[in-house]
Amino acid sequence: MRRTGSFLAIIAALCCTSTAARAETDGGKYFEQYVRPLLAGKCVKCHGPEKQEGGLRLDSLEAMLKGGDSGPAVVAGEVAESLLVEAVRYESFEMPPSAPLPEEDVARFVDWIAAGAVWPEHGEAVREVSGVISESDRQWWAFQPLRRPEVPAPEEDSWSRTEIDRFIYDRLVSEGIEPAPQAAKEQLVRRVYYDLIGLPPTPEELAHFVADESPDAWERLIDRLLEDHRYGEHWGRYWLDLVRYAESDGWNQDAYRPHIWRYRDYVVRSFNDDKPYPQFVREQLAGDEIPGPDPEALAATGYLRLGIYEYNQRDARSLWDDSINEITDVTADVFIGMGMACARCHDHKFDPILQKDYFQLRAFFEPLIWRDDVPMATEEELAAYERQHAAWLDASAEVQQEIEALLKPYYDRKWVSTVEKFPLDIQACFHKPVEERTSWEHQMAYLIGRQFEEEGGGPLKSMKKEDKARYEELKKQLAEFDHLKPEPLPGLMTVADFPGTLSPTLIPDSADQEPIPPGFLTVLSEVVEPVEPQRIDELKSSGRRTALAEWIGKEDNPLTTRVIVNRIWQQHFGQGIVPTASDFGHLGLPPTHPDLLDWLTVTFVEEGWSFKKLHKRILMSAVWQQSSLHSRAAENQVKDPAESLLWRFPVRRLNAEQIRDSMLIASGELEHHCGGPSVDGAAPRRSLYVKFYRNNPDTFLQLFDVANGLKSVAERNRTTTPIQSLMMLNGDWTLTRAKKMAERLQEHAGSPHEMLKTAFRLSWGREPTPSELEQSLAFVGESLPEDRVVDLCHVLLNSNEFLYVD
Amino acid sequence: MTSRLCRQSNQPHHWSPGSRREFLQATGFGFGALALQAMMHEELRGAESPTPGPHFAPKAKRVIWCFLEGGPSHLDLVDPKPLLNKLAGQPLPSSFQEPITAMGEKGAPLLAAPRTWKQHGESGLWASEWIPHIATCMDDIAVVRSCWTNGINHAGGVCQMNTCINVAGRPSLGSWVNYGLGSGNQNLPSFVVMCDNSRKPVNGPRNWGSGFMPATHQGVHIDGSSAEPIANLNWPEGYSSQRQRAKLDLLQQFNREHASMRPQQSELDARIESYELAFRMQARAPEAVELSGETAATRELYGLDQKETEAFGRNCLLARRLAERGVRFIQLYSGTGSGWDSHSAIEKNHSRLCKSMDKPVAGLIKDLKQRGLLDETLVIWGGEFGRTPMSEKSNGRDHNPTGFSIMMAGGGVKGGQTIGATDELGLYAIEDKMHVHDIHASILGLLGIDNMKLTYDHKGRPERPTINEGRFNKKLIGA
Repeated sequence: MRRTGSFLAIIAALCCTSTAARAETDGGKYFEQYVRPLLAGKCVKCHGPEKQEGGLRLDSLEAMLKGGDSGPAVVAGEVAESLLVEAVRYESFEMPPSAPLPEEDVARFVDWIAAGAVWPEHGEAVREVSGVISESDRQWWAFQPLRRPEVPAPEEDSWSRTEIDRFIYDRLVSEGIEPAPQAAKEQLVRRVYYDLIGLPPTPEELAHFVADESPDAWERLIDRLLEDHRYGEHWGRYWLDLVRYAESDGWNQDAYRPHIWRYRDYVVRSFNDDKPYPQFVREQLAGDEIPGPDPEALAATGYLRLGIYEYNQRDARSLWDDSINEITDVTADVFIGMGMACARCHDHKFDPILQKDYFQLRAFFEPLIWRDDVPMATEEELAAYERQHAAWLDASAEVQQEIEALLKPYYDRKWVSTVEKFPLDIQACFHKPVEERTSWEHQMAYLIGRQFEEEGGGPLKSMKKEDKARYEELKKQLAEFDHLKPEPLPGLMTVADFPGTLSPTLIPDSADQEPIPPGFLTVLSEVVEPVEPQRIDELKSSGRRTALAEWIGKEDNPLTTRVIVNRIWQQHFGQGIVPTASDFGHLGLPPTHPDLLDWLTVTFVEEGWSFKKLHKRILMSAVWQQSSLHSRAAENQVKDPAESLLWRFPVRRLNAEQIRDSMLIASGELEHHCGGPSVDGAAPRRSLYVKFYRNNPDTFLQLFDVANGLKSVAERNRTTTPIQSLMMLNGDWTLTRAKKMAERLQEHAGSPHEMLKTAFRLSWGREPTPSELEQSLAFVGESLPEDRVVDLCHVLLNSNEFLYVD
Repeated sequence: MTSRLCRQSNQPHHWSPGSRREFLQATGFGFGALALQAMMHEELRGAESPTPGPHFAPKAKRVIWCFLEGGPSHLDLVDPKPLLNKLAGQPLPSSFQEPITAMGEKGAPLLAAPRTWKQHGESGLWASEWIPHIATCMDDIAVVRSCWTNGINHAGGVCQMNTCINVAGRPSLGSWVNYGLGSGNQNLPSFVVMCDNSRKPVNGPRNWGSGFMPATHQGVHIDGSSAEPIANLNWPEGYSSQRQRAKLDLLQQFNREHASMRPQQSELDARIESYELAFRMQARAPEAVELSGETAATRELYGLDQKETEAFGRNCLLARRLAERGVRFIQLYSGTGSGWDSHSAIEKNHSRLCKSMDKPVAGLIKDLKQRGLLDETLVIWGGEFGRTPMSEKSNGRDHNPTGFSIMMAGGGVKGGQTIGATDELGLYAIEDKMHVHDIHASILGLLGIDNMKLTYDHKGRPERPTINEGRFNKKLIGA
């Protein structure tokens, strides 16, 4: 019945042309979509629970009808008599006082009142507009303090091996579901290789493990793989997805960032070194505030440089504002596991996140300046470099001076033409001496400086012919001093805080324009003690980001700790205990096993925040070692269609990198060395090292759902499309791998049977069954013509057995 | 589908076995979310769905969008400004707020638009001599003169006109339509993009990317002039159909055995099906882009017989063929790679590009009309922004995001009307302003989608195609 009603309402709305009619018949949706956000964003700050200017509150219909000192604010159905309309039209009162609302917003108030001022009893879980946090807000599960739950001890439990299992088993039993038996050894070894290092075992490694009957064989295998440097390459990639890592600017030019790979290598090393999580957090958020300088920590601050950048944007104010908002959004997604972007414009409608909370978080990044001139070097290395550099300058002083004089007019001209393209207020920032600038003014000046270098072809684009000739000559003369010149130090993209006056963080369009100091989620204020930023005098840095990192890394932070443990679990099982890994709020899903999550989290923190110990704990469990087959799968799916109770191991398609890397392994081409600058997609290196342009990502990886480097990605999409299949069947790249694999088989001389068996071992990691062997032989033909062998290899590389892991 | 709806109603993350429609969603170019949710709605026996669809009866079934990339001058095409010619050579009067311009040329004098303007058709809509063919269709066209956008540069502008916001990362409108309505043809992509030269548009393929949605919804680039119109469509060189089929048979045999060992894993079946679909596409797609069956009269109508109009004309004709075959969202770039960007020498630039685009666009409208398809096909014409009344480099115009025109025809749009207005110099939109949000909301509205009701859950936010903004301007349908 309800459906019919809403259908008629829609028809009614369509027949009428005015939105007022729509506002009347839609059961309050118009209000929720248009009016409530307006009230929340523009009115309630001064007319709500905190302040009641003119005795008026605008946070309930009752209060509006009652009105304030001047009478009712709203008379339902009577636009002309509603003071609210007069006020927003600036006819009597002028509200909001900062600036009149846009016409369309005024129209929304008018329509809403004309339609009878419907204020629905709140349906879903929409929070009341309030600007404050209530006691019930604090009751949400994710904000509760961490505790160590008792490990269940289910009766007649012969399945469990570890504490993890007992949590899982207990729940399964209560649902009347039996877990699956242990997977076959061959399956387990392939599964654990992909899980830990992202690559399949070699046939030899596989055979070796299968033959190893010793009781600790499994544990030793895990230990060995955790020490393999390819572990960091695989697990670091998950982190790179979260922080929207990419290697180009985006926007129009999409310029390549030649130094950003050092951040990628930093992440890989951090995983390989099993860096405690709080340290990992601190280095990325505030590595520049660690005295030293610590080159590793400086590389880590690449995190703060991963946003997109537009090389020719003259609206510098918006560019910077967007950049700092973006780093705020990403930080909330990655570390806090709560989407906060909604709260940029209004209190979050579903979660207890205030608009103030958003800007408190943003305030940590307010003093940020981008540094492109800090090399990845220790103090000693820097000093040595500078000494040698000075000696070189000294020796070549004469030539240097002439070059300088020659270039000066070009530089001067380019500076003038660069600066004058910006709005006048931005130009003024540039002309101020550095020591007189505020942080915001300095940020504006920096953006102008970047365009001097990068926009319009650089300062020397239109050099006069004779000057150019002379310049070339002088460069030759200068080259004679090259033996004195130091090797350039490795470049970095890093950050610092502005050392001088810091600009305040303000909520745009807010009535009072009070500066917002850095601060943490209000809803957590009683659970986690706030960390006060301590200025770091020796670095002239505000210490704000260090404080943020400390707060995130606090042992008693109930949110950030659960979030990271859940992320690790998620990658082992394809789904987190909280399935919405970056959203622990009301629109996300609650944990399927809340006690298990807490137990794991407490244990993780107690054991020194070690990812490797957590991995091992999970991999030693019976639940992880389950078979992906279950004799009663159909029945269980009825009880647990999302399979979140883990009664079998999920079959998973390999991700983009794993597919590409596995093909290169099957073809015998993969070149393995860790780290360094990224390479072209044609090079046979791990996909982690393929250059990542935001506007033109590698086609193969893109079609298999690689993260796009634009937004934080907690869980990749996993699509199956004909376009993928076309690429796999007809694309050059895959066909070439098949050819290379066939060539490799030719080297393994032997009987046709032996050769075909090798093909299966190299691609599927197992012996073919007699029937598979027979089909293959029938397909290829006894004489093994080369093109048919290629086709067989191509088929194997396209097959689900290759693309999926049990 | 990992939508919150599915999860909350305890639907599996992968495809429920036996559901043909969901299976199609998984494998092909997509059964739309609206159809799917309508179906799930039934299956959930009346449980309240956040997006019961279809939202309302659509006027348009599909969209063909002629995207004049780089920013055409509304002042020289459809928005005549006599005052501009009067004040030409003088600076912008102080009564106008000085905008932030992309190239930042300060105090540049106003540039005359030396056009011949005429009123056309029964409706008497204005068009300049640069678009003589489109001018004959004015009774079918609504000219929206009051558009505005945020991005002052190409990257932001093109991104916004595609995704509703100037910052990268959100799904393209075509992806939303694909997500919402699905494909009308399981053997062809639902969202197709064509370019009129070998350059790439600004931002590259991410203009038709699906953002945070699965790649199933992204646009597919088609090159109608190539022997391989879709990437990897053709068999590798030297392969016969037989050889390809034999390979596919062995592959599918292996895959079926693999799947039979793993019951209740419908994703495996989806992949098997996707190979069959790919194979069928190899057979069907070439036919869709084959123009040899088109009559000489049709080819002439689109300007395929003339060098200047051939490239864009071919794409317009292909668009009609794809539209006939159920493709939902077709985007045609004109001047691909910021071609319309005329910072200097606008006379030369625009006269050339107008010629390349004018006859094909008019041909498309007329051809759709004579085939009875115009009523259900929305044709859109416009760029990422317009151009300034102020000059740049003495004989060009800078970007103007604060006021520009687009045109719409068909798909329920009432022709022969102008909507909105810019100020007397065409710098700012002032009446009945339509932001890109409103443009997208209106396009969706014409397709029967309520922009506020179509949601996709992403990271705890019910994301909407127009970012919680935008209104369907009902004047477009004559209301």
